[in-house]
Amino acid sequence: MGVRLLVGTAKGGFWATSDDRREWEVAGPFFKGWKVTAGLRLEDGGFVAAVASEIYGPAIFLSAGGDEWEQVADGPAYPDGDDRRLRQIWTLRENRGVLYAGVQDAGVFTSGDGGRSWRPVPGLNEHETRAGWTPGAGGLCCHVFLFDRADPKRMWCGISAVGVFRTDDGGATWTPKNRGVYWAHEDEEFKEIGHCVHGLAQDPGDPRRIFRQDHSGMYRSRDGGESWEKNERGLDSGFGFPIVLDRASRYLFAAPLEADQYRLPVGGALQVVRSTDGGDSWHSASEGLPAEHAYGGVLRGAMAVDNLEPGGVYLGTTSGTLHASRDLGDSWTNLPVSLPRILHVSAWAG
Amino acid sequence: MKPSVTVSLPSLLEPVTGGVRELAVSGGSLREIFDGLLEREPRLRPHLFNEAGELRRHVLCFHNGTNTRWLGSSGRENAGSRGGGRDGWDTPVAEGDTVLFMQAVSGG
Repeated sequence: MGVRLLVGTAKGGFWATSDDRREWEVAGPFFKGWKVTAGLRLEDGGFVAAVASEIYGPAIFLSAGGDEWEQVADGPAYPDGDDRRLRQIWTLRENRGVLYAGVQDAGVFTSGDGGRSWRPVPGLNEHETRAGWTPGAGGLCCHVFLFDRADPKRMWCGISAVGVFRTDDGGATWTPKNRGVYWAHEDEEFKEIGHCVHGLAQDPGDPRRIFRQDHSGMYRSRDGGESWEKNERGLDSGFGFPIVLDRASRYLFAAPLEADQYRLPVGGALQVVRSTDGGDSWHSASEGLPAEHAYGGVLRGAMAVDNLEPGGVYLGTTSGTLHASRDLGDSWTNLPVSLPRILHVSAWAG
Repeated sequence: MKPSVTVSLPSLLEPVTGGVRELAVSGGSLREIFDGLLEREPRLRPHLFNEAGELRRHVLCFHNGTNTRWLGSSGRENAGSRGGGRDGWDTPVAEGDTVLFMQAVSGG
């Protein structure tokens, strides 16, 4: 089965398609000159893309087939006069017919009509801790969602430099879930917020098992986020941004970087790490990736899986290189492209 | 019959308007031209104007070649005023006037 990648860069979007996941065709750019920051394929086969411009701001576009795009007229927006600004849409997800957008300045918006109109989620956007939310280096952004497949009222979101929140009542109320994550505050008293989650992944068989790439390292929760334990066995560095999980094998993938003050691939080698034992341990799965003079990092949205069997894994770098594995990271192909800084990669079968 | 003004848009906004770069908009003042433009192309609103209804910070608008940020409330050019507010939006427009939007590009 073929695969289609949406590659969002700082200067436009690109499609990479392959029938066999060996030979790739790359097309684009579309939205030339715009940042393409998130993508989603709807259950009906349509596409949703989020774009942003430092000058003209963000927007959401819809497309039936990926060729013609139309901006939605009633996109996410904070109320007129609000001191928050909609600067960027960081993630788009669909769950049970509802679309979710995680945005910067941090907030969540939902759409019940396929992305044509969007409404805020006050329980999170006006959270009682909101006044204490402060941005990280990437801005104050909500950038990841997880959903409980068994419990339609339970979901999680991650906000950079704030932490993970969970709702158990369909989004009406949200509770910070960061206990066990290392924090560096001005005193030793644990704070519910101020935790810089970089990425989240979830075990499809047990939604309480959540994997967290945090600013302070790699963590796992076995209880839906009630508590977190560090699991970095085998890692040269616990720092990094993306973490993804292949649904069939339940293998985890991440792309570590050398410490937050550097944010470079360790030793100039682009590295993917894999866990085949539910996060108990990690090992390199980087055969074929550039092993020297590679200093482009992988941003939080720039790694994806296709959920085919065997699973394909894809990543783009800040240097504009694009890499694909068709065998769960056992080997990698470096696509012959030199794109702008890659912000986002989505992968879809078919 | 209100005067018709030619409004020009930057190429970066083509995805928003479906490729339209130039529109004829009728109105008696810049404010009415802006209102008419957004009535025709409502998707432009978040790209040209901020939540306070002012021009976005790095969006430039020129009326017959004059930066609208430099127009005083009387509509006369006032090089001392560089605010992002709506001073000057009541400036009258005439048939055949031009309104040009573009981005402020700075840096190297």
